[in-house]
Amino acid sequence: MKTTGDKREIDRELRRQRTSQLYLIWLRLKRNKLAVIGLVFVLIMVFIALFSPWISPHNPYATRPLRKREAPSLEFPLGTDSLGRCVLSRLFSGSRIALQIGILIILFEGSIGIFLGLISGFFGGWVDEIVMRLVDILRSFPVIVLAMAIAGIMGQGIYNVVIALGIVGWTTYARMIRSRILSIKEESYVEAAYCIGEPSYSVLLRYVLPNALPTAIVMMAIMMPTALIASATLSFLGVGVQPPTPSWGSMISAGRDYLLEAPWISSFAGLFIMFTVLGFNFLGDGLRDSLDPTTKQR
Amino acid sequence: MTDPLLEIVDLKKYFNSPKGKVKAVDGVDLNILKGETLGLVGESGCGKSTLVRATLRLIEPTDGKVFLRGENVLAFSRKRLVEARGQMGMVFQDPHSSLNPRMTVAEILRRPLKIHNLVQGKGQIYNRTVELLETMGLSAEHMIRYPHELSGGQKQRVGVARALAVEPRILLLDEPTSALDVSVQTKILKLLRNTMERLDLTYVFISHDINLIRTISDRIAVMYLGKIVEIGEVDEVFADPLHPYTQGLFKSVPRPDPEHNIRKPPLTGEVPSPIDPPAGCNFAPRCPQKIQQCEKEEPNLKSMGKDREVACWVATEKNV
Amino acid sequence: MKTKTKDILRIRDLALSFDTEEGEVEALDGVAFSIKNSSVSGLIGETGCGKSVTGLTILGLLDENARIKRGEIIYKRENLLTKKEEELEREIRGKEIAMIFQDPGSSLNPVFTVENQITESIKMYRNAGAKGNKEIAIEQLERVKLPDAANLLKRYPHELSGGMKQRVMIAMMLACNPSLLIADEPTTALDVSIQAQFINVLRELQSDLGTSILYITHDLAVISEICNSVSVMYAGRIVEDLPVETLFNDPIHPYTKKLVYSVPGVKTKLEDLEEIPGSVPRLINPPAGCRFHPRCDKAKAICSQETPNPVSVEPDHCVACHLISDRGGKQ
Ligand SMILES: Nc1ncnc2c1ncn2[C@@H]1O[C@H](COP(=O)(O)OP(=O)(O)OP(=O)(O)O)[C@@H](O)[C@H]1O
Ligand SMILES: Nc1ncnc2c1ncn2[C@@H]1O[C@H](COP(=O)(O)OP(=O)(O)O)[C@@H](O)[C@H]1O
Ligand code: SF4
Ligand code: SF4
Ligand SMILES: [Mg+2]
Ligand SMILES: [Mg+2]
Repeated sequence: MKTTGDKREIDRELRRQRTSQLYLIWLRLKRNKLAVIGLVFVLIMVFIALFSPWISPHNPYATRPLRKREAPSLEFPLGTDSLGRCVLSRLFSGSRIALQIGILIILFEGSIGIFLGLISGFFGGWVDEIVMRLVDILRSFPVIVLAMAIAGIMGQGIYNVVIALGIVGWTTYARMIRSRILSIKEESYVEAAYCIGEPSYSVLLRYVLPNALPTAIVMMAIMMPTALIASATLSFLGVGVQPPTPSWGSMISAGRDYLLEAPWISSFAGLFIMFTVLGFNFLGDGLRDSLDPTTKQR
Repeated sequence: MTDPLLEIVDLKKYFNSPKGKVKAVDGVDLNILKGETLGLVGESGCGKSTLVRATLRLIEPTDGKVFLRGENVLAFSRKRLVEARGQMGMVFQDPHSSLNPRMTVAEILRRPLKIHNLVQGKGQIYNRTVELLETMGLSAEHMIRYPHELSGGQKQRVGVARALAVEPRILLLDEPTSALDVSVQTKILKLLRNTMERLDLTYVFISHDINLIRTISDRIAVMYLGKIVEIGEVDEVFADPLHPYTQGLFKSVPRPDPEHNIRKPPLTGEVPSPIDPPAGCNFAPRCPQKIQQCEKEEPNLKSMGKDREVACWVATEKNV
Repeated sequence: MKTKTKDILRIRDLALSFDTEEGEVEALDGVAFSIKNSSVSGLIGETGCGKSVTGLTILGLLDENARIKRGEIIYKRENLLTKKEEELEREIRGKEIAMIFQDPGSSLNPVFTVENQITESIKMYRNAGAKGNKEIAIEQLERVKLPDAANLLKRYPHELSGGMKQRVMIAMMLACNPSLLIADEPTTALDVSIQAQFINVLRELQSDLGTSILYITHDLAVISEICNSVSVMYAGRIVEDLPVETLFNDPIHPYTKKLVYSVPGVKTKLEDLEEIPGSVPRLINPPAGCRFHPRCDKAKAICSQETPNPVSVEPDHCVACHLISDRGGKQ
């Protein structure tokens, strides 16, 4: 670049630099084998969820009274359940619900938690006091019991599950983000920002938030499995997604009486949950390292 | 004598800690003269950083006044404070943590220009940014770098450029080279010296490297446990340190000279905690020259001739 | 380099690299120097030049990703590099060669009292029974000028200041009477007044006990206070080996010169201070030939191609620079 030039030139450079930052993040992620495995798992699940109507061998709702609890065969690759429905098709279709709920929960609790964590860490004082006491109170309840109570009051259904879980779930984010903000506040670049005359809101938006964002993203990836398991647990307990809508949790629950004669009903649903949970966990861990610009600079 | 650009009057900063009040800065009076480099030395924890932070109101002082060209900064509203910060710049010790890792060098330098509305128009801003970088021996190619893509010395030079961007009249430098290798230090020191001459700046330079302070400052202020114990022209203070602490401190400094040997440790014991500072003179528990009065009454800075002040009963007695 | 029997430790052509994700870090490349019996040798250089790695290699305390490529470390006629881990543990570490680190806090165990830690090391090397050990411990603490030693024994590390911890560390090390003490930036974290106390204690102990010391630091002023001879390190190589007086009066290597004259205090005017352009190279793909050549204002064509070998210019003075052949140095 020449010594003089106009603003456009440097903006272009900046944009190029940004994309190359994203590229660097990808390079760092790629080096981490587990993260790549996690990413593949997640992508497979997303693919299944998106295309389940086309890749399912059968209609997931079709009952076949005469073909109950059939073992896996060519026709029903993972067997049938107590109503004679195709387990594979129901798992595929359940992945849609699962990811949908998972994403909704993450967005719901994430946005509340990140926002409250941000302001409580940044402003401190009474704001912090109120938020943190609220966190303490909510965390003293057993999550699932609380969620069951809420679902009981508000009725069943996807959105109520999301609200029920999110109402406690955000506290984890708020805590993590708050402690990250507290450590960012100690960095001298924040002090330097005040020094050059930055107003508080600008310090928050330009200095603190961008540096806390990776933590938030990683949190979301890591909390995804928790959300999946919690929503499966609710379904398993009968307060989640309404039957006959296929959900992994209720499938495990439906098959648990036949664990010996027809293990395929519960176990494959369990495997699907495990597969997805592992995927997000690996990915989350990998993201943690690769989003940090200072790890392994080149 | 030139007039003071910045006048610090009885500045105090106490921190609350579970064990009691930490008197980090405990009544500091200091005049910073236009165009000088004032070296501030003292051992770790004596309150050097706290003093400059409180002066800039990066932390709110407990008590005192800071006059910037006659006006008390501590009484300023938020808005006026931002203006005042346009007159004072600060450079931080750790170059690795003093630049926002998510901003490029260009953005880092553009912010102060925008906030203080110093130059208008994108082209102008760009040119000014390049100019700032060139002042610090960097070039336009560094603009698109992120801090972690710079070496420690380069980062620190960006830090100085950022402080200069607001066009300050006074620069507070808190150990700006102590995280750097010596081979890189000279470059920054020389750049600072040149800039000072060109822009007619005033420096307050904190360092624990006493040889360095001796090389670069006009006046030196020695701090001990939250107080200034001696202040004066560098050559005079080094030639004839008056305060027993200054004497011990200077003798403790290893000198790059094989002939020189620190024979007997000149200072015994350790710096007491600033939580419960000793009554009377802070230095009394370690002072080889103390007299009875020392443990009862606290000595204040007293003038000892031209531009020389010292806070010690014995030293002021002798010279009267 | 010649009077070999007088050397307690001799390092020859030591090359070592670390395998990292980014590639091979050539941390040491042909390091050679020796430490005379009962003398204090300094190892000086800027951050990352390999000083600590050299110290750790002597004691075999390197991380797992380290790979020693060649060289030998002769200690009292034995090559430490060929010794097994157990042998080092049993015969060398703590007993023959002891090491103190930069951060005094982390080298002491926070959950044990000073007494526990000192007597533990005394027990290992010269057990004198519970009472005897305690007496030795007190004696050691008094030796390093720690006041009120008996009381100090009951305290935990976090109740001590940095300077006290560092002195407790030497007391522990010296309890076993090592022949060689490696001190890796022992005073970098300390204040000058405490540093002065520390250096004084160390110097006295050295002259009383005749322990040899390898003093690692980046601070030239400290070197001048305590060392007899110095090895100057740059980017994983020793560039010059010389007596401490010569370091300040007549250094030869271009890097040493620049380094010495960039320290405030050697020259007292800012204009006279030297600066070195550029920065210390990274050790992944370091510059070919002389590693200093990209920053050297005397570099010739050969400098970027061939590694200069150390040449003796005086009995105790070795320089590794291509300019030296011009000064009539002999191989
Ligand atoms: N936020 C705080 N809360 C409590 N005590 C503090 C705080 N900041 C500083 N102190 C205390 O105030 C005293 C002065 O600290 P300060 O950072 O100003 O020292 P310094 O002279 O700059 O030391 P150094 O040379 O180590 O940078 C120290 O005892 C320190 O522990
Ligand atoms: N465990 C390790 N893995 C990879 N590189 C290392 C390791 N330890 C040290 N290094 C590298 O070896 C070089 C020398 O390090 P060191 O001896 O610690 O420097 P110093 O001279 O400051 O003590 C540096 O480039 C450092 O990054
Ligand atoms: S006032 Fe007394 S105790 Fe304090 S420094 Fe002077 S002589 Fe020492
Ligand atoms: S060998 Fe060449 S490049 Fe290296 S120090 Fe000597 S003159 Fe400079
Ligand atoms: Mg400080
Ligand atoms: Mg080191």
